[in-house]
Order: sequence, then C-alpha cells, then structure tokens
Amino acid sequence: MPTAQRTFEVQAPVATVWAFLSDLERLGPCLPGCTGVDLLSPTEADWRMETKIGFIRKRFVVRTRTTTLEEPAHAAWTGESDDLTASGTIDLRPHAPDRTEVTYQGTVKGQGPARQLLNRYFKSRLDRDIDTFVANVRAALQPEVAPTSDS
Amino acid sequence: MIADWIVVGGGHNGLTCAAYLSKAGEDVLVLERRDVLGGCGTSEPTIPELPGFTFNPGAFDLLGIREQPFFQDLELEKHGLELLTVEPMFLMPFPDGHRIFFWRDLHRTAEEIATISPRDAERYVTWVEFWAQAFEMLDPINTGAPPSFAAMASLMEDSPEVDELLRVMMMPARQYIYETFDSTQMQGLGAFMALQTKSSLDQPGSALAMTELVMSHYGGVYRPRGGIGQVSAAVARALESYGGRIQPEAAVAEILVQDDHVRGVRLKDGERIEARKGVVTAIAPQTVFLEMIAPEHLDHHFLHRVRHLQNDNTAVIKAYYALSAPPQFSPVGDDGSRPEFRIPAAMITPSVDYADAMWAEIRRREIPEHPWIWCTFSTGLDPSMAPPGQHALGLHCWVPYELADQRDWDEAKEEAAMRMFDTYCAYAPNLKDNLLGWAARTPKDWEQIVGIPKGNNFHIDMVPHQVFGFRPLPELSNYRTPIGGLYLTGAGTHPGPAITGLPGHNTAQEILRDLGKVEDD
Repeated sequence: MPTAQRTFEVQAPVATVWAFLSDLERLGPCLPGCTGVDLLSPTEADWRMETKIGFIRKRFVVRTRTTTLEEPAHAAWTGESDDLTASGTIDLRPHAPDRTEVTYQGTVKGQGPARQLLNRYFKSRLDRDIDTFVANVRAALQPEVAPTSDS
Repeated sequence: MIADWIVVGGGHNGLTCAAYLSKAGEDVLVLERRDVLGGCGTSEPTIPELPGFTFNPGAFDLLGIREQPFFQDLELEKHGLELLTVEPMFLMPFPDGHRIFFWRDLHRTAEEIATISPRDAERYVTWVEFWAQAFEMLDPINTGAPPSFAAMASLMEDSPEVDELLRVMMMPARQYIYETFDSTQMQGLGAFMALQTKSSLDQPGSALAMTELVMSHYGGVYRPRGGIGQVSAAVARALESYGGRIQPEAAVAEILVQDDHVRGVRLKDGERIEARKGVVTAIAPQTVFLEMIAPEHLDHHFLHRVRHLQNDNTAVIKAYYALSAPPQFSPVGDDGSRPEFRIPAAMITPSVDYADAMWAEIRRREIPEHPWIWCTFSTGLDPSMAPPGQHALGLHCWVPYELADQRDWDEAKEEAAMRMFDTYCAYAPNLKDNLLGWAARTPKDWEQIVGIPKGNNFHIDMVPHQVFGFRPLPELSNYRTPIGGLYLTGAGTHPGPAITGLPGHNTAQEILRDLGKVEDD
C-alpha cells in the first residue's frame, strides 16, 4: 500500500494550523489533483480529484470522512471511491507560540480492475505528491509562500 | 547441493531476480552455463590473438538505466558500476553528406534536424513530446507483471490522444514513418528504429518500435566503464553481498518435476541440485518447456503453443574490429577535431528504400548487402576497452538464421563481417587501412555459446501478439508456469529484451508476493 510521511514546520500558532488541517473543506484542496470539494457535513466531504497519467486523465470523487479529532493534536480521515481508498493522519506539536510542527502521513490504495496499475502509479508519485501537499499547506498558512499547482 | 531457489541462467535478468530474492532473505543459487556472467550482455576479449581488447558481444549502451528499479534497489553504483554519459546519444550519417546528432536536449536535436528539413524538426519535437506522455503511462505497466488489457482499458477516458495511441499501436511502421516525416533522412531514422524489433516495416504494430528514441531524450544514454558486462558484474556483487551464490560452468540439462511441482535441476555433468522452494529460469521459454522438462509434466496443448511461439528466421550477428586509429567520418563533415563524432552509437539505415532492400535480402535468406547497423565505437568514450592508442569497434546487424545457399555460418561469417565493415567504412574511410583484426558472433555462435534459440537475442520475437500480457503467452505472462514453484524471467518475458533489469525485478516481486513477503498490489 503506497504510504508516505512528512514532518515539517509551519510558521503559525497551533490553533490556526489545527483549524485549517482538521477542516476537510480546506484540507482537500492542498492535495495535488484536487479540483474541488463538496462539503456534505462538518465531518464528511466529497473531494473531486483528477490525476493525469500521461495523457490519460482519471477522475475520482473521493467520499472523505473525519474519523478522529483530538483537538489540537491529532486528526485522522479516510476516503473511498470506486477506484481507490485513502487515509491520512495529522499530528501537531507546538514548537513556539507562532510555530507548529506538522506530521502528515498519507496512504492511497487502488481498487477495481486497474488496482495494480494504479498502485504502481501512486507509488511512483506519492513522495512528489506529498511534497506538493506540504508546500500547499505552507502556502495557505504562510501567505508569503507561493502555492504549488502540480497535479 | 541444495538451495531454496535455483536460478537457471546468469544473464542480467537472472542475476537481478536472484539479487532481489537474496535481499529479501531467500537462499539463492544462480547456475550459469558459461564461465562469463551476463548472457547477451557480456564484455569479453573476443579476438584471442589480440589480447587487451574488450568487446561487447551483444548489448552495448543503456537507455534510461538510472530510472530502472534495479539501479537504485540493488545499489549498482555502490557495487562498482560506473556509468559514462553518452552525449550526443546517437549519430546518423547519410550518404549525401548530411548527418544528425541526437542530443539529450530535444531542441538541440531539432536544430540538427532543421539543417535537413525544418518541417521535420518541428514534427520531431511534437512527436517526441506526444510519446513522452505515452511512456509516462507505460512506466507502471513495465515495472510489474503486465496488467490485463481490460484493466488498462478501464483507466482510459475518451480523448483524441488515447485514440491516436491506439491507432499507432496497430500501425505498420511504414505508414507511420510516411505520415510523420517528409525527408528521406528522417524517414530513414524511422525505419532504423522500427527495424530494431526485427519486424518488417509492413508488420502491423511495428510503428511502436520507432518510439524507443523518445525515451533516450528523457532517460539519457549511458555506457558502463569497462563494457556492458559491468552491469551484470555489479548485480552479481550485489547478489553476493546479500548472501546469494553463483556457480559458473554449470549447464542445466533438466528441470526436475514431481507431483506437478519443481524439485530441482540436473546438470549436464549429472549432478542433481535440490530446490527447496522453487526454480526461476532466465533463459528462453521454449528451451525451458521443450528441452528441459519431461513432456509428461505438461499439457499437450500448452506444449503445442510453446512450440509455435514466433521466433522467425531473423537473427543477430555482431562483429568486432580491433583498430589502430579512430574512425573519422570525413564524408559527413568530420575533420577529426570534434570528439562528438566518436562518442555516440551510429545508426546506419539512410532511407526507407535501403531498409526495404535489407528486409528483402533477409527474406531471401541472404547476407544483407544493405545492412541495418548499430555501430558502437567503444574507445571513443572509454579507452580502457583497447590497448593504449588502439581502438575497439562493434557492428551489430540482423541476418537470416539459415542462409539460402545452405552455407554454414562459420563459412559465411567473414563475408558478413566484412560487408558490415565496408558499409561502415563508407562513412569512415580512414579505417580501411587501420584494421588490426576482427571476430564475429553469428546466429549459430549465439545458439551454441549463449544458448538462445535460433540466435534470437529477444528469445522470442517482439511482435504485437507477444508483448505486454501476451509475452511469452498469456498463461505465462505473470511469470508463473503450470509447474508449481517454477517461474520465468528474462527477455522472453514482459517487458522484453534490453538491459533494464525489469523482467528480473518483476519476477522477483511476484515470487515475493507468493511468499507473502510483499503486499499484494
């Protein structure tokens, strides 16, 4: 199951980081390939994702649910579509009043007839994608950082 | 003797598979019939009377090796593989005095092409960029057991690019060449690339082979210092560092089967070696099933299908020349001062007409008068391949396995080697007076020395019905066989020939999956 993890620091108070990353509507667009979010409830959303493999564009609607919220330290979510399952955890640790350490772990697994291909593809991209995610989170929480649009 | 796993064949794929298994903690023994490792990718002193020269009898340059899983996973550089960058990557000379260098930089290459045809230069860029996206799709297909066509189709959404990809996959090369390029020279390039798979330009599906050039712009071309055999040497060192064993000069005569499960092997000298878990064959699949396993262990219909795997009458000859001077390509503007003429592999097939003439000669089972030639001047980049001040050249061409005039290849060897040399000398005329000696490995030699059926270095032909999930047959394409514990790897399995380590990597992953050591995809 392709999995990647990053620990990084954001120059923002832990409460601000928590408010952002525990919100499915704001978290989703930081993931590479997310083209939109439909919020269904405070803990449930549809993330509209698009991934490009060569000139194949594959679209997924990932039904995402928050499964754990331990404010302001730990959150977990799971997601599912016809073609994949995914999950993520976020752990926050205040470094200073205006600095927060974030540990993000993401997992994605293909489903259906093309699961082998999707898994190989996800495996080849996950490190790059999670770096893009980190850059996007930083850009959202630190306005002076430019966002990354890699999908 | 006993081992958990026996790997039959010490070519780079057998060694790669063995190294992955050893790295995962399995007890592995590789058996190689020769005293040299590498199969079709060795480096050897093939001219006995001229010691100090090293030649690559088969494979030569490496395309995109840094992106292949085995390069990183097995830490080949740590195990002694030193890669020299081949830049420019290729040289294509033409009889009219034109020449094209293919640089890794696409636009620099386009500038070269523009000196012949500005329109072809533009098309070349568009063409490469299109296929680069297609190859992005191909990577996940090649780095594991081939997915079913239904699985691949389930990912495809309606788009003009996908339609174009599918159209070209069915096309004969001739059609694609003519609709892609205008100039005779670039059409010759297309023909050269298409002929790499030993298919006629009219074979449906042969167009796809043209696209290999595309990969070089993205993955680069490399040449191991000391010759291509250094790849297998590095993999062997990795294998041994993980505890794996290699036994050279151990030719396998029989794969032992009992109760539908493989039990070990019997060597030609009579020794029996027990395999506690299984056997991996890194040799041609038809040799495995038709020569090494007693037929009562296999279904009659299955054997019939294996017997009729397509392995046409087209084989490889490689000739090696010891030289007292480097080539000077004076007919295409080389005054001897520009090293880039002596670095890349040169490609000789100046036009579609030339390619057609060669193909007709092969069909008539004649030694081609118009040889399609891959030319590697090794010492241009790596002087260690020859004594100081001397040089090593390799020429690689397709020939018929059997000649119409019934001559044995031992008799025909010199004619073929000199015809290739003369063709090369038309572009590098100074070499005529600088030939110190030569040798050649003919289809018969390939069969006898390395053990590849009919001298086919692909083991079986690369044709549309023998690629992806059809290689070598659909029921064998996930590297498993009807015999429990017996697995296939090597050029006859997906994704096929070339020094990529991919078949070896993929087979090992399937074995480790069966052992519960890696997760199911």
